[in-house]
Amino acid sequence: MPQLIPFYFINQLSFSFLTLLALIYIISKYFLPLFTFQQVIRMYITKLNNK
Amino acid sequence: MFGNQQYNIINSPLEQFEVTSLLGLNAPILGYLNISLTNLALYSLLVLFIIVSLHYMANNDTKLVPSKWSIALESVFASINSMVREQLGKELYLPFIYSLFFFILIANLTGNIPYSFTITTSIMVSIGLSFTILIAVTILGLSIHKLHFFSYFVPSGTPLALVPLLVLIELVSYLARAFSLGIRLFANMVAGHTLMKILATFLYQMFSGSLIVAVLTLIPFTLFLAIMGLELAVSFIQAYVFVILTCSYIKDAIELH
Amino acid sequence: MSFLGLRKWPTPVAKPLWPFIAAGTITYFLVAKAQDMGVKSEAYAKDPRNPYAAQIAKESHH
Repeated sequence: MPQLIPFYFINQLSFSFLTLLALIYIISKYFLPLFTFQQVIRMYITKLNNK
Repeated sequence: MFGNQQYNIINSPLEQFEVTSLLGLNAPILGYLNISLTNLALYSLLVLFIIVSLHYMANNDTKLVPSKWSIALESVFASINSMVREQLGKELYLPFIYSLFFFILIANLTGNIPYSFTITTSIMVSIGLSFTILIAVTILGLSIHKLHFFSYFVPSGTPLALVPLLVLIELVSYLARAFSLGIRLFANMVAGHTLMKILATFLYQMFSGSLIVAVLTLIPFTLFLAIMGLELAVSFIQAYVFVILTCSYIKDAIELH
Repeated sequence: MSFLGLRKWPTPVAKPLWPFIAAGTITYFLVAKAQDMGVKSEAYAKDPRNPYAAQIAKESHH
């Protein structure tokens, strides 16, 4: 079974972990706050409108 | 009409899962370090690039009316946010869960493109990730509750005579979580891709026969297209199930019930 | 690198992630041991695809 060939185990593991870490960093610092910011702005404008 | 037919001899349908090195670097330092760009590494970088560019394209610059890209992304964000808040009560783990969901989803989807490599079909990625998540959740529970964490293995309201047996059963089922989470994802992806490879090989042989056989092969071909649609659905479902179970395990460690 | 015109927000990254990083290093060491055992075993030591063939040949000569 080709998944059990041991030559590149560490390679596979480190690349997937590094990709996931870089992804978590980029998403949490640059992209996720934009979503929350947009919801906050919409809530703010709705409240201003309801006054 | 028969011309020069060349048959590619394919050894087994499992050959598509081999991790091969594309660019190797063998250096006799630090104990024969071997850094190589394998096909799995290339595809995981591609997955990273796709996710970052998807989010960049959908950046609506906080306009009130969402564009087509941002409707999809905002609805995904809202559903994952509501799931995390419902299970955990706080948003501290939202970036991790969100990134995990997108990583598995885009990894599965890029694997559905013909002739590409699915990174979640590798044991190290799927089962390594689930093993890491289980150990991390145990460390988290131990650091929050110290020794009271082990009261998780004794369900409330059991008679005292049954406690040793029940603790053993609960312990085994807790340790099995490490592997069940990863094997679910791994087995679904490997089985789906192996099935598609086998069917595609048969259909190719039938399509390259005579004209009548080729026209009749269109009927099994529609079945094959339905199975490809099933694979697309399975990619989404497996990503969702992985993420919701991770949330549930984190909740078990934080709240011990 | 990703400052493609986007602002950087002060989201806490280490606070939720430290157990996962610790577990990741534990998994890394376990897999390194498994890989060492597998690469030096009978079935794979002489495999032509083995990138560690030179190292194993040197060690077996000592």
